[in-house]
Amino acid sequence: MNGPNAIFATVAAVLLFAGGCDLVEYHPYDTRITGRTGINAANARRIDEACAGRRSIRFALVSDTQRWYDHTRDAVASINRLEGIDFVIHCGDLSDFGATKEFLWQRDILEGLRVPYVCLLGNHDCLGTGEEVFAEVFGPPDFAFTAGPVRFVCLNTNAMEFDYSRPVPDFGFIGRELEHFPSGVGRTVFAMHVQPGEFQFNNNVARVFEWYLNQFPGLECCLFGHGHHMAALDLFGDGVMWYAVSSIEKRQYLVFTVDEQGHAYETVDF
Amino acid sequence: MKRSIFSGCVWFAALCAVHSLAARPCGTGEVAALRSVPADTAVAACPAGPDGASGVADSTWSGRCAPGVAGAVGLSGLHDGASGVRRPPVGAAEPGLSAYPVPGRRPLDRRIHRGYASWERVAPTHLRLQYAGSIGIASAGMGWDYGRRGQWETELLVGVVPAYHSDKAKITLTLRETFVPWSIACGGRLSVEPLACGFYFSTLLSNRFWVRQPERYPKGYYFFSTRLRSYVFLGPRVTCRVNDRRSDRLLRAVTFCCECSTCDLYVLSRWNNRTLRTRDMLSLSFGVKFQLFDSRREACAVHGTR
Repeated sequence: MNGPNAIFATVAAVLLFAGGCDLVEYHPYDTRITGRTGINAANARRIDEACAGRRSIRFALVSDTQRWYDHTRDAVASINRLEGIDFVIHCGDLSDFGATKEFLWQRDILEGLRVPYVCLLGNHDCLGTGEEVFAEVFGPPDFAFTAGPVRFVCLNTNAMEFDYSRPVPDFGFIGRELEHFPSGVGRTVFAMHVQPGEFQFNNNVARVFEWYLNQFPGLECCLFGHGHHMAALDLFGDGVMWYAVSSIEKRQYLVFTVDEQGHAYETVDF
Repeated sequence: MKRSIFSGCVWFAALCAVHSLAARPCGTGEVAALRSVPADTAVAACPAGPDGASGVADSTWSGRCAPGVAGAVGLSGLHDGASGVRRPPVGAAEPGLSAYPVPGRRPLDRRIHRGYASWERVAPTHLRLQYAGSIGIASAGMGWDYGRRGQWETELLVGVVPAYHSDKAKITLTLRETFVPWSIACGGRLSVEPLACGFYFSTLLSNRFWVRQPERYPKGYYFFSTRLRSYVFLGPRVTCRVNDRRSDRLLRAVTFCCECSTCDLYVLSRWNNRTLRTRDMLSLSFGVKFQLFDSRREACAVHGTR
């Protein structure tokens, strides 16, 4: 092999090797994803199978873990030590900048949970190319799953990030969920990142949103994050409780127990 | 507005590239046609022009030479006493450029020469190709070497980021500044630059990303930009001289670079987080630099001067 051909072959070999190396990045927003994808759908099936026929479920609620990787890792370890946890709901804001690697780092930490988990879309997750990365790694921003006697409907409520380019919240999705509500399930819990009344929410439809949620069988409670502080309030004064979980920076998460009679929650500091 | 600025940059870059390829080393007659030479200036030692006429050294041209007119010294019959310009005789056959008499030196002429020298300084001195480095799967551009020992480089690169799971590919525009403190000659044609370091700023040419948050957000809602990124980098280089300094070929040397970089987002993410490893925030890149003009850095390395 002569000189120029040898140089070309060496350069080609180095580039081929480097392309598979995780040190090579084309851009923070390149949406070049490695590892597990489609997590929400797969874990929702696991949750449905694990809780099938159960009359009571217990789950943990975390949110706003962006840029707090150490605290997230500690929260995973704390949840793993708890007894009787069936699954975990992450209420959104896994990333701070919407960078591809942020989602992958958070995913890799949450994969350490002993139980299945699902993640919602937060407002920070919509920045840059975050929405596409979230859709590939976790799935659609609106989804639902069944756990024992409870139907969980998880919604994208980050309306300001989409600026009326698409329906947020998606009443079409909510309507289809109501229409195809599974038989044998008696309770409903809604989860979202941003609650009505907040700047991000499309507050023009806040009352319509409340009315629609109350059409679901046995509306138990609603869960949200975003505010970085814990709260429990009757948001609309209609008797339905709304619970906010604080950001992981405060080293706190919530644990809910829901059965056919009602629900209870506890605050866990770790 | 932004499109016109971008178009202007593209045209300017194309103009520089064309000019750098068009500029040729000493000895060409066309460049010297602009020069003015007093009729009675003594002929100094200088490479002959293409027509064999002897040249005259000109101190304002940094050593370059201006071919004189064939037999110009001593010609008097064709001198235009009013303007000092010598003209070919009426009815004469179409002469070459070197046959036109050169007017006497005037302040206006000196200003024209200086303008041409400034234009040459703007011409890029090297071209660069890069793989990865967080500014695209591939990026290419031009650069300028400068500094007393040629230790500084400024480069302008255009890169492309494939779409992958996004809706479309993206174009990046990057401005790089490099400092190369040492260049060690390894004998023969090779030299090693063990540490090339610097920083660069990169922007995404897409309206989807913003420098400042859109107006619909309250002030300070998002403190960062999704469009502009800043990076720091460092890494070693190896340079191979391709053509001799006396060669008239455009390509002088080829440099192979390998660099490690990180951006502002990853530095913030790594801050106060031991879960993330240092390698999680690093990005590797490989580049090739084609030196078009002799670099003073390479000259110092070859001759062992500091």
